[in-house]
Amino acid sequence: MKKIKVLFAALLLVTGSGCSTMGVKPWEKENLAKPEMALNEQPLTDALDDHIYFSKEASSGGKSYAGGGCGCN
Amino acid sequence: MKNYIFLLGFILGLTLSNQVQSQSLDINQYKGKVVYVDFWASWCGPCMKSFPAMNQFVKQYDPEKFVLIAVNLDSDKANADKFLKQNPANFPIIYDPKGEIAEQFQVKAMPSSYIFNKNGVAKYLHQGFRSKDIPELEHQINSLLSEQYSVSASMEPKLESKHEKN
Amino acid sequence: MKNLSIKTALTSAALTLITNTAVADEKNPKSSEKQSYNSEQEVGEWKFDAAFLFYGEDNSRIQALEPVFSATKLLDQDETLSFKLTLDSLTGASPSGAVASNQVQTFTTPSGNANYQVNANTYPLDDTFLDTRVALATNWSFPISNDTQATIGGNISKEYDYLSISVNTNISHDFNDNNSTVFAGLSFASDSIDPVGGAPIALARMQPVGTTQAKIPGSQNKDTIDLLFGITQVIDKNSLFQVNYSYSNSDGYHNDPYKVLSVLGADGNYFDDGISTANVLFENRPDKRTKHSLFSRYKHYLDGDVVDLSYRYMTDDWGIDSHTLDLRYRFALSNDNYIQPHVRYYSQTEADFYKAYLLQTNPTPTYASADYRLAEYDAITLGVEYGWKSTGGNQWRAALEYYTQSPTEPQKFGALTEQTLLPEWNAVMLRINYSF
Repeated sequence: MKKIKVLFAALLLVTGSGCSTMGVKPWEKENLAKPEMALNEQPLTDALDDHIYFSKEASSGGKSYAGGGCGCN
Repeated sequence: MKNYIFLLGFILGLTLSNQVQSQSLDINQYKGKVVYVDFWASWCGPCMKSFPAMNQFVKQYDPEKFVLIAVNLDSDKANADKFLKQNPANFPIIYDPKGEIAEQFQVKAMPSSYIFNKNGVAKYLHQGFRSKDIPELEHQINSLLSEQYSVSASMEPKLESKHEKN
Repeated sequence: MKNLSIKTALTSAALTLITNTAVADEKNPKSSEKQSYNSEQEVGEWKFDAAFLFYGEDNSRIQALEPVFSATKLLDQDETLSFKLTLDSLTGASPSGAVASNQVQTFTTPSGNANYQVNANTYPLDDTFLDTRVALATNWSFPISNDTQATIGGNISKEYDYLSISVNTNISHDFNDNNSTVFAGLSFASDSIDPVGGAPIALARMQPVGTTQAKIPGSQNKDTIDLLFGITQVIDKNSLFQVNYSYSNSDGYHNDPYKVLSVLGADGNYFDDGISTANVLFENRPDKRTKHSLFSRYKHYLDGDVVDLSYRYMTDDWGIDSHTLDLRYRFALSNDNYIQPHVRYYSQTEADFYKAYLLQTNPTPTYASADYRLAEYDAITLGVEYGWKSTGGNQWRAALEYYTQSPTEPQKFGALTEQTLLPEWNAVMLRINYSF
């Protein structure tokens, strides 16, 4: 619990300070604009996977929303 | 020997065609005209949608009073050429593969359109493109077309700034 | 020289323009999640995604058929309304939590109206499992400002003995020239379970058919709050990363009403207390659970290929820690086709109250569960996805995946040493997607 908090604070700090120096110009996003580079390229697949792993494993979610909504066995 | 020269010419040609230099954009040469400068790239979805509209602008306005220039920002010109084959343009294209002109214009979005008045002052910036933006763009072009061209102001491109406005 | 001065002048001109803009929405691709919307989708048009999943475990355990259909309407350039319908049809058997033994064991079905026998030296499965789930989800995503997007959504999921209703909202904000996105989400779910035959009293003994089962009729409830905070950052022309922290707190009924624990005697066999039904107790879990997870993901575009690497660490107050590593490599083929191998590694520790069995000689603990999903195990998924475009330009995808769960075998003694308490098991997943 404490570990997580410290880790999260550290991450925020690193990303927060790193962000301003990273990145590209709007016209340099040719590759990043490709659909296969989107983070939610396949929402249905992600939902199906999440549902399976939610049913079979003790951990779930994290990517976007936690699974849930079933009494799966 | 002849073959050598041919080969040399071929290599030279290749080198030249691969080294597309950033062309420059001189708004001043269009004094007296409303200038529409559009920044686009082949991979940008809304850019594709803006091409028919821009072709229409060129058709509908008097070429003596209105000029549209599109600045292509593809790093690889081949992609731009492919795009232009599918989306023909009836306006001049300037290639800026390194984004030097875009950098000067501080382009923040793709596409971005800058509309200059007859005195070379940038009056409107339009980021992104959707078909419902067309009437607004037309309204902006029309309002600039109806403005008077002042000869004295055209000597040097004039800046629109808060100081000069007041 | 003149050009230069004009260029400089233009720079300042562009600067001063900012006060005088006519800014429209759809802009350059953002680092945020909304970039996935098909740019070819026109405002007012619908876009459809369909998927079909077959999931099958070996040894006649669970099999599932899961068709999904989703429709998204582009209301405006940055505004979408979507609906998703999921059907989920399950058949097969599920491990009951009881251990295998060298004697035939008789169990009572959840309804209490029938019994079933598990052969000697056989892993006990409850083969009465049959269910259909229907879920409907809707989402409205809309811009709040030029670089801030919000989503409001709802979800309802119903199966025979289970009802889940949830609402969620999230907001994302792009900054740093759209190279960074921060994201915050909140979800609230209310679940209610109405177990077949009632909810067993905690750690009550299973009774034979014809006698009163120690079960409470009616439904049991659970409320869950999920929070998610994330940041997405463009690194360079070809790569971006994402870090999410998520928090989940659930309160209420967490038991699986169909799972039991075996009570064993000193010899390692089921303890004979004179009742004909196997000596098993219904499980009991804490009524609260808090989970924290840290998820990071890196995506890299490599000459047409895409590397997608993610790692998740999760920890909860049930004592479960887990690590998930996921790697996908999308090889670009000709004509926009691709082939994407996938490997996923998952590892978890057991819950504090996980017990493979209980001992007659020991006092009954407050919380105990023999659910294999709360045990310690590793799992590996190996898969491959192939994607191609139809002649009309619509996207097809087909994936085949193979999942293996390898549990750590619990400590054994006496007659139990002849048995496998947590057998390794496998599942096959076949998925087809079509977008149009």
